[in-house]
Amino acid sequence: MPNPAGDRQEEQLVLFRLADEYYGLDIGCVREIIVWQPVTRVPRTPPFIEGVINLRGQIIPVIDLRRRFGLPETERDRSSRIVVVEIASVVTGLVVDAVSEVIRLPTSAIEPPSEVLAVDAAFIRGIARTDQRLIILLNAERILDHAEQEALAAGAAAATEAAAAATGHGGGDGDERGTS
Amino acid sequence: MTAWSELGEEERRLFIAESEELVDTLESGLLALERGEVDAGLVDEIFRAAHTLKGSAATAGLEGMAGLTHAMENLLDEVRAGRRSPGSGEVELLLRAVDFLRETLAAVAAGEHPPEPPEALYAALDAAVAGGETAAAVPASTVAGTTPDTGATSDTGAGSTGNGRTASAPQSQPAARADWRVEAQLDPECPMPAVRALQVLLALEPLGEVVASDPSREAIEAEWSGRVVRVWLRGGDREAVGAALRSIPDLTRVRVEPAAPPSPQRQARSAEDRTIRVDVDLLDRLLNLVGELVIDRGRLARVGQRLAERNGAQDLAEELSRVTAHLGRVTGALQEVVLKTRMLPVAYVFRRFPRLVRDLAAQLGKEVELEVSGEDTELDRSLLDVIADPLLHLVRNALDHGIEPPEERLRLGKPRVGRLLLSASQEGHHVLIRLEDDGRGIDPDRVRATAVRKGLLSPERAAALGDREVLDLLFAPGFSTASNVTDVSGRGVGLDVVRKNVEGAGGRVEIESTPGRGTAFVLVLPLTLATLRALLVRVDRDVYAIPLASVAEVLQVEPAGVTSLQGRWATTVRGRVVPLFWLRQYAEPGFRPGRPARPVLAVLVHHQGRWVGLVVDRLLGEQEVVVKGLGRLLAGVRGLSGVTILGDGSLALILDVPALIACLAADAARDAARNPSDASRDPGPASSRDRGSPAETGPAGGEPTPPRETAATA
Repeated sequence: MPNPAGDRQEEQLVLFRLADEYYGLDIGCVREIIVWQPVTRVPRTPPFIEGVINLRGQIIPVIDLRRRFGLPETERDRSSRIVVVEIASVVTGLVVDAVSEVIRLPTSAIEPPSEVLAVDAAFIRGIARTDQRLIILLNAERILDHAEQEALAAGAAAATEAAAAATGHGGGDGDERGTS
Repeated sequence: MTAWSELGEEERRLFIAESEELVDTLESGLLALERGEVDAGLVDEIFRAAHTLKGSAATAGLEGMAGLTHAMENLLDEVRAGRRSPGSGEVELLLRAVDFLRETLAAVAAGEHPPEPPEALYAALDAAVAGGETAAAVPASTVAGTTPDTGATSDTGAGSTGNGRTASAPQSQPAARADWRVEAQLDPECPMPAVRALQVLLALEPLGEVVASDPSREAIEAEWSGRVVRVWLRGGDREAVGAALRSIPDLTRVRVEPAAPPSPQRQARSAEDRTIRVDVDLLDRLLNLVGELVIDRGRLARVGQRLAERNGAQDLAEELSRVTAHLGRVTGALQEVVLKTRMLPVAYVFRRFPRLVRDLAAQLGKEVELEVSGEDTELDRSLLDVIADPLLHLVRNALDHGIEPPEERLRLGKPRVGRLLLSASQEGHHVLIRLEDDGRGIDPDRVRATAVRKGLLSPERAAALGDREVLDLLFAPGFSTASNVTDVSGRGVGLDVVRKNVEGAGGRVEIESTPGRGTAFVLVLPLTLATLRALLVRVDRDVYAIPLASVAEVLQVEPAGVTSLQGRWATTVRGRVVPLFWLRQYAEPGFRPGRPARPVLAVLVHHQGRWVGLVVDRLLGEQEVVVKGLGRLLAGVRGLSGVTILGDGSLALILDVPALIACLAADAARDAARNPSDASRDPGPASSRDRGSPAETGPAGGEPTPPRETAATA
């Protein structure tokens, strides 16, 4: 993770809300934050992929973080935002309930994720406590890597199946000979 | 002459790009020669490449490179003159020289000091030339017949005098001022070539000005033993030249021609004059701009439509529509041209492989024959860049892990020499690049074991995976089946990188493998990253773009025309059974269409030589769309080739028709497999008794077999 503030023993985080929890993303990877807009859904992708949007001519995929983390779904409202992150020159949008603020946090306040959290530990870089708030620091890189793996696996599984069906019969008549 | 270090950045880049192409030509020519494809044209081509390299190296101040190409040229000239048949020794030698040229270019590219050619290489080249001199000469008549005039200025025989290296490269256009180019061929048996050459010069001098000669007068007077004398003469006329030379003995052939055009090299050069090298970034920007233009044109058309709906603006609307139509044609043409400038034959990537395979095979102790086909297939330049490394990796893999050593092959009853097939072909909107070997194939069980050992999968999951899914594991990051990491392919780049690169460009990688029989990797690539004409359709709230090239026609199908086959819907179009798929099933895999109560709209698309109907809600019209990739995250999605921005800024998904149909067919197959007893049931509420024979009336059959109209009882 790039940690530009590391030298000063401080990190700058974009703080956002998701199902009443606070999450933080390193500001270095956040390109912009936009108001939620209708997303063009892309069929045959994992459920947490909401679809794609047109960001000033650039097509970017959008991940629904609630679904990604297995949190209950809610209606999108006026506070819903898409946090646009850029990692290794790949731009992705993350849908969150609301963006609250940008904070500075002493690196010493960040602890390894020890508590049992609702979110898969693989996506968490650490937790921090400030002003009686618990902030879950996300590892955006990991989130995207996993998303990519799963999306590819979904596509590959579909491809495998389609190939099997195609080998079995041009239109697939239930004959699945082609699986080997 | 400038020093190489004084070259400007731009000059350096041009020099490298040009030289690399020439080195490629040289190398592929030499390999062809080695395979025994000896013909004068080929030798000539190689010779010219060496010659041009020499010239540009000298111009760039790269003396080592100029000297070495000069020595190569000498040896090649021997071959060209028919005095030397190119054996494997010579080819090997020349290939080593090619390697050195590449090193030099790499050094120049990196801004480093170019290396000095090894003395041994010179010595070997010189020795080869000298050996050629003493070899039995081919009769002059054959020489004349097999040596097309190239107009190249060569220093025939200079190498044998040992001054080949230091001789500065002759001017590439020695005789820009000359009117005539005279070439006299000496009898190989001629005892005093230098005397005859001098006679030629002396005979021509009274006719006009001798602008240049090859060999030079000094070379002739020093010591010369070549067989061809070329003189560039200013003034005089053809007859006079012929007459002047007629009396000189031992000349087997004299050729007099205008110094300027008809020599092939000059022609090639004039073609070069009409081409320029353009930075790919510029082309990229141009393409983007054209893309913007196309989108704006769409917007303009919409404005025109709205204007036409408004009262009192009819004439304006009409004029706008005329202008828009014209703008459309111009943008279309512009786009086509821009796209064309970006297309290159895959040969640009393929041609490095013969050499690579040859060297790698030797290094690995394997015998491999590489067969290349479809090199003319064109692909967008940026895609060529994308596939170069993945292909390299796959070729290395095939040689290292795929093809067995000769003894093992013999033991297995296979031909001793392994085969590697590299082919390119265009299929619809895709270019397929296929690399196939007849080696070991991939053992799914070994892959399972490796995946488990590397902690990618639990043993249970591994065991549950089908063989095809197992092959997919090969693409998982950090996976490598090679039991021992070798020098050749164990360089840390895995198939995962191959897949990532290809998918990042909107393509996909497919793999087929039969243990013991071989493996094939197929890179399925979009033809271009550009635009296409598409039919826009709406299904529910989704808008899709169907590439027009896939669309046969659009039909309205009456409910009575919808028949049921094998638990699926179909209709009949002019005697052909056409399976129907509801496009809605793509976004909603659980959707099960019932027998339609009202007429449905079906877009007939071509699929594997048949027709398939895609049922949609509405047609939105035909439009030029700019294809944008789905990006890395969604690169693996089946059924889509990209996305496009519509005039109002909203998005439409561009369908990859073959993949889409395969996808929908797979769903149906899975349904049928899940409920085998339902196969006889009507897909919807209606029911049918007709099962037909699966082989004949499979839903994608589309054969002209008269469909047995089912009891359409709904």
